[in-house]
Amino acid sequence: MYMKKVNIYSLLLTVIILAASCSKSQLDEVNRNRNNPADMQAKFILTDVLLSTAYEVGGDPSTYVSIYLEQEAGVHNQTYNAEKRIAEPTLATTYNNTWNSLYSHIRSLKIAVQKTSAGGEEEGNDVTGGIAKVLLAYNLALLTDLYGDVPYTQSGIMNEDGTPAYMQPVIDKQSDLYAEVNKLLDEAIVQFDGADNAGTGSIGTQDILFGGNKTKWKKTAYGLKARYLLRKLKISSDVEGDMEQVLEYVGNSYTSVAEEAMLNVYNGSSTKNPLHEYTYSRDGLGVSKSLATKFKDLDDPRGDQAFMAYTQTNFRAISLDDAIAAAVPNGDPVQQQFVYPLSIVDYALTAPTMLFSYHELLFIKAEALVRLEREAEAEPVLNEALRYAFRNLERSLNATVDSYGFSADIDLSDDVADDYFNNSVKARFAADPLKETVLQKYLAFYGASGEATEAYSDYRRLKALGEANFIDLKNSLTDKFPLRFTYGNSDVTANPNVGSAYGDGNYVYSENVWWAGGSR
Amino acid sequence: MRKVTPLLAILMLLSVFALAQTRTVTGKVTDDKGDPVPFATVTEKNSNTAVAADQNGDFSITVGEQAVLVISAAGFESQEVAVGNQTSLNILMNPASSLQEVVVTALGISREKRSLGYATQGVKADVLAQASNPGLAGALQGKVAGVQITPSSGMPGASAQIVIRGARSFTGNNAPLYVVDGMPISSNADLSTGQSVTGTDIANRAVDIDPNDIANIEILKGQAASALYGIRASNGAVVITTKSGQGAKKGKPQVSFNTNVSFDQISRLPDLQKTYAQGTGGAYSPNASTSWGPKIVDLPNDPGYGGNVANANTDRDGMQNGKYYVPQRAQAGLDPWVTPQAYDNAKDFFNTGTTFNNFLNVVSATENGSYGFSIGSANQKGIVPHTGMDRYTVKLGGETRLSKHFKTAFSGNFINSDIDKMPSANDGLIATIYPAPPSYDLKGIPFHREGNPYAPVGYRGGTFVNPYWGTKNNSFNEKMNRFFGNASVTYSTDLSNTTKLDIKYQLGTDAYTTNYSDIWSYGSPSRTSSIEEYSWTNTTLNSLLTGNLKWDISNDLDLNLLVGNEIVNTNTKYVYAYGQDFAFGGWNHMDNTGSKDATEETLKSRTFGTFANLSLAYQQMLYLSLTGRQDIISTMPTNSRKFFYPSASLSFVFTELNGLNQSSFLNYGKVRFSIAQVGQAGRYLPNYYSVPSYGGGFYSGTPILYPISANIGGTTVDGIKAYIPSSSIYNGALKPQNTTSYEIGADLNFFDNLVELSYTYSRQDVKDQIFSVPLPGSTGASSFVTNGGRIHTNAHEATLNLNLVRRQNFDWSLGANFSKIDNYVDELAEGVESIFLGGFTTPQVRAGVGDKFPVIYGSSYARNDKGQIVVDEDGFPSAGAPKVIGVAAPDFILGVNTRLRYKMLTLSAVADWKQGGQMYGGTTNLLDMYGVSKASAEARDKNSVTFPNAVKEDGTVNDIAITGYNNIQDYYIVLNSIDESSIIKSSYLKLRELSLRVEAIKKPNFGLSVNFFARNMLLWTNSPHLDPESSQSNTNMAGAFERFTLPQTKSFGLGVNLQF
Repeated sequence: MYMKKVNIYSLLLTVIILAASCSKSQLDEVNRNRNNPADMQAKFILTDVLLSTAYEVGGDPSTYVSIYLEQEAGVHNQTYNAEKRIAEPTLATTYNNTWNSLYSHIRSLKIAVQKTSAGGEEEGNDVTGGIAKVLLAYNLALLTDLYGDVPYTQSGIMNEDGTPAYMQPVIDKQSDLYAEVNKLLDEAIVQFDGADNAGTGSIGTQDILFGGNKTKWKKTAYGLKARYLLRKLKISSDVEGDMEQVLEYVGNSYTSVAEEAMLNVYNGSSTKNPLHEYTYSRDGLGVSKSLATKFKDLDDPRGDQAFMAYTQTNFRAISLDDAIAAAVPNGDPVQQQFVYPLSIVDYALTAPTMLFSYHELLFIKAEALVRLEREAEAEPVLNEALRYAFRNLERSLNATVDSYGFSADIDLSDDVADDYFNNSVKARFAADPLKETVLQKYLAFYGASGEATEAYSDYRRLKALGEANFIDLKNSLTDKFPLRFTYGNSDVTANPNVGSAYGDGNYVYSENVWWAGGSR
Repeated sequence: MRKVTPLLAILMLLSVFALAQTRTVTGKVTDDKGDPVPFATVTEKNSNTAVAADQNGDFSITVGEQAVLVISAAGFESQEVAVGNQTSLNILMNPASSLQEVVVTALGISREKRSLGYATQGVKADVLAQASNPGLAGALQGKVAGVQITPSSGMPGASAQIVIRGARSFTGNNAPLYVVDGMPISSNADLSTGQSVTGTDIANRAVDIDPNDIANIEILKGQAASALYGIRASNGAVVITTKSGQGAKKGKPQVSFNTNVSFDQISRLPDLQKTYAQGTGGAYSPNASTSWGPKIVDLPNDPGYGGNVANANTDRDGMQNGKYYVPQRAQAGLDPWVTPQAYDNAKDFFNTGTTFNNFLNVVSATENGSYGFSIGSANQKGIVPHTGMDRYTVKLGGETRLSKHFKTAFSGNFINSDIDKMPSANDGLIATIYPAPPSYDLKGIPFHREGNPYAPVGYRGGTFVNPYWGTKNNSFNEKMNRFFGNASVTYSTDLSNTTKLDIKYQLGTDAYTTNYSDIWSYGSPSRTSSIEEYSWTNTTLNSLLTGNLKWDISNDLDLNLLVGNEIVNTNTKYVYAYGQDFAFGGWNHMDNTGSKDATEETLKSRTFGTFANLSLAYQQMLYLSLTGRQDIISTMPTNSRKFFYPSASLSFVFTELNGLNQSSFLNYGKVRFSIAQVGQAGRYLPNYYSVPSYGGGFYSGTPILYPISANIGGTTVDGIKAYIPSSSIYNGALKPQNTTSYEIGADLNFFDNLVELSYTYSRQDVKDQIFSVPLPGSTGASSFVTNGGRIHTNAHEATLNLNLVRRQNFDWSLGANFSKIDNYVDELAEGVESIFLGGFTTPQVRAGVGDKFPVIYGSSYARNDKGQIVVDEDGFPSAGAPKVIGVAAPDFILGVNTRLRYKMLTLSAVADWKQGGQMYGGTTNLLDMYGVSKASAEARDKNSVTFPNAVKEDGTVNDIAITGYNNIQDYYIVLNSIDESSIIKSSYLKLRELSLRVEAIKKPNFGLSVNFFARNMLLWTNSPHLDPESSQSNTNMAGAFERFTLPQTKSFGLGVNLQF
């Protein structure tokens, strides 16, 4: 009897509970996202944009272009293919990860700019807003330098409900994008005169580059303006005026190495240098014969300190001659791992990534001076640039040697740099100042700091100006120098605007980007 | 509530009154050969009394005066027997005709098969267990039409995909709903294997089901069949009835005990060369991944390492005639100078696996109820060292009749499993087993340095570890505890002489926790040593209320109305901890790591379903069934949670028509039609921010783990966090995807049921699929969860059973199950050409518009206008544009089975033929590239290889012989760089099962039988090296992608069955 009552009552009770369990609000609560925040302050968004930007600058693009530039040689799988110009340079998949990453930065940055702009939730946070704009300019320039005409104005724009306003963004012209880069930098420079006044507080150490130091950011913005103006030399209508302008920007930029945009976050455990991570995971790089031979021909002290070979258990530093003897013939490697010698910097676990280095600024200044035929002024600038480039390489070499514990005589101190400058560079500079300046810049951008990415734009700029022979690449496949990256596969397959621009990908060998005299 | 009490009192009185007039009848159900028919249902006509016979066919039932018993059992004609004054009955069942067969349909409702307007197919215990397969998916292979079963490998606990009538979802779930004793349970993997190019397999939860405990499986194939289950059964349903104790003979418990042992071996080893040594370009190189070195016999003359020539090694150690120097031997502390010889590294590596399977089942009954109890164990050791599975299952079920009106029942299952796995693809052991140079003594040279067990020694560097070191030091484990079961109460009453009402309430749960542990040991070469500890806790509560009204309107017309409500509430908790960089070896624990990361995720969902089914039966001839179900689902956006799905089916037994019912040629004929709609829901989330994660691409480890520390202006700041907007975006206007299916079929029996033929054509149209549309990266996001796309399936299924001989001492039957399932992608979201299912950047497995689902995509051979592959002047092919290079789906699958019984001997066999289909054969291709395949050696032996089936640039047939050692090596490197060269055909014919059962003793109270069995012993395939049934992934890409995948197995063994 009791049993039955329980059964009937519980049955009825259950029905009542059941009916209540599917109301709208109940189900909204059931489906609530317990695992993620729905909104975020701009400063927390900017942190990873900084790190991720550095990871692109020093990651895939730098790895691939260092092969095209013969700072490294590709010996296995993707890098081997890149070295031999098989498939990789024309495939839409090759640079897809970088493509997607850069656009995710653009989306994040557009959100951060919107939040810190007039009418935004964090209106009044001018420093944070300025940083967002500098980073947006930086990423946009990186994107268009590598890929040419790309979507931007319709990219990363989200509707109220978070869905993309443009599912298939249209392609913008690089000429317009360069104007946008300048505009963003100019706006940022103005904003850096303000402060972070909104209720959410200042950016502080969420700015992992400068800790919210607006002066350094402002100087970086000027430095970047110099970089991007120099880039447009080929299409300049007033070279002299532009070079004067470059010098003016440089004058507003860094005055010491302590101000440079060096992202120093790799502790070797929870954070690791991207080149190290590539080499550690893939073992696809070897010593470029072209680079090693240049070091030799130029009597460059870096040559005897830059290379190492595998041993059964570890590495050993090798002499420049040994490196040259066993180096990878550019364009004609044997596909094998752990046989060719390699750059010591390939394993620089904690080497920082340079977003914009002091030595780059000095090289820009030197080049502008040289192009204005002010060689006497340029010479000491070049000397100073070399010192900081040496210091940076020394830091990276030590990062490997310290992490992997083998012996190597590393000394790239100011004395060594000065000695090299006085005994070797100076004479060549006197003979051909422009050639020596750009060549030294090219060599300075070898390393683990991701500066090959910038060297690639430099090289293409020089190539457009007919000055490529200053650097003199040796790859036997001369008709196949990639002038640009292929569009990302995510757009090639899902965005007809980009898909039709990609075609079969062979345009990378024939079409210059706009600032190199191309039309796209 | 007070008003209810008097009603209860009246009901109680009635039930006492009813009890007073009853008496007990016992009986035994046997078939025409005298064998017991297990688990027959015995019901008293026009009453609510029903019991089930036990596995020996014995039953006991309490009946009223003038009782007529209706006895029904799957596979037999129903019998009606008037009890009269008898107290003991012998009931003889006529077998296997479709005339009166009873099958279990949705929600456990038994229906006469003739009444069904859709196709279902059952598999009984003896057929399922005839070859003692420890896994359910394997045990079903070749036995059901319209069902595609794709195993991943032969490893213990390996995942397998069961898909009925093709795919309905591109990237989501295509697995059927599993229902065990009325309780829907989870059968999918907790976690997807994702791109499936690294890591280990992850078992799906169907592995928890012990096939030994299954009395019957009914596969509800179409959407009309499973419509009552609503949204969860849009992929069909697998309805499992376990060996419960319902209706066993009172008194003495009946015990059945099975034990068997089987031995597993690798099903197929690749065809490898034994002539050429490790190296490249004809030169020996002791760390090369390739075997493009000199001939093994010429190693002593190698300039760098040979003992016959002056070099650094002989300068140091003196000349070593006939020997060569192996640096790895020196590292491992052995004499580095050895006489060259060829080793059989692949064969040496694999063990003979063992499986011990025990199963004990006890059923018993008391005056008011019954219970069934079973314990099972499966203890497997895989063919790869340190792999295995231990699974223990316990089940208790029972039923108590409280009165004429009330009945309670429960069923509870507990499962504990522990699976040790090994990784595959780019993390895989196979990567250093098959490609190991024949000159290298992989087994003989110790796998670590002398004095340092954590420094691996192997033939090559890089991420790929010596497999002996890997199996010894790395570990990959999943441990699971699970309870599922339900309790129910049923109230039954006769509303009139012709109407009967049953109300049943059932509450069930399916709760499990799986703990995963993946450890890459300290010392793992070129890989961050790491530990991942993660767990998945899933608790599902299932409430089911049904009312069933049966009304015999007239002699000719019966009506059945079912209404019900179902609530499914699921809570899931995922906890994940990661640590990397062990400080030292030997203690692979989280506390030994240099940096750590942790996260957790809680997910909840609730489904509220209301359903009704109306069935009308006219004259045992015409049956109409109408179903409607509305589901309200929490995981959808607020305003699109309600969905309604209707279905209708019609069965017409035309041989009941006058004039047709006397034919001995066609003694039974039925045509059936059904139409149904059902959907699938997605999970909608408002947009959110998350902690960024790094990895993938070129990086093997996790290069960045938040929180980070940064050196800012010379000061180190720790604990910096970051958040980014989610790269997945959800459409707020998401609606459920919708499958409309039509099915038409016929069941025909000829020559007095000698020939039984069943054929079904079905068509499914799926629209508004919910999937993650890949977004162009330039939007700033990566994917958009929305509706889009259409896919359709045309499926032809046929089963043919020939009951060739039916004698007392001899019978022989032959059966065939034919499936042809064509699944086409008609449309994806606007602007989207394809959806990535897994694999690499290329080759990958994807869904592409206009293609059969799924396809393999990658770089193709360059072709001319006529579509012919063109080679260059040197005879080399080159890469053309990336495109679809292979279609995974087979043309058809044919399972053939036979059973031959002579007296006490029963011989059973199942063969499975998959015709057509292709897969990415990564290993196959790499064996050539590495120079270890026999083909690569033959090319070198002949100093000639010609790319086949191609034309030269002038359009004539390619006859350019590539000669020269290096050119031949280059040829295979070039082939490897073109994905299309990796596409292999994956047709096969397998002797799936062969068993011989000897019924040594068969007495009423004691039975003993011995079973000898073999599985997958014979294989014919057009795949060049491997068993095409090993492939990557536990997702929809299963079967299409192979790369250093763990192998398949063949097994043989014997078992003993005792009954007393």
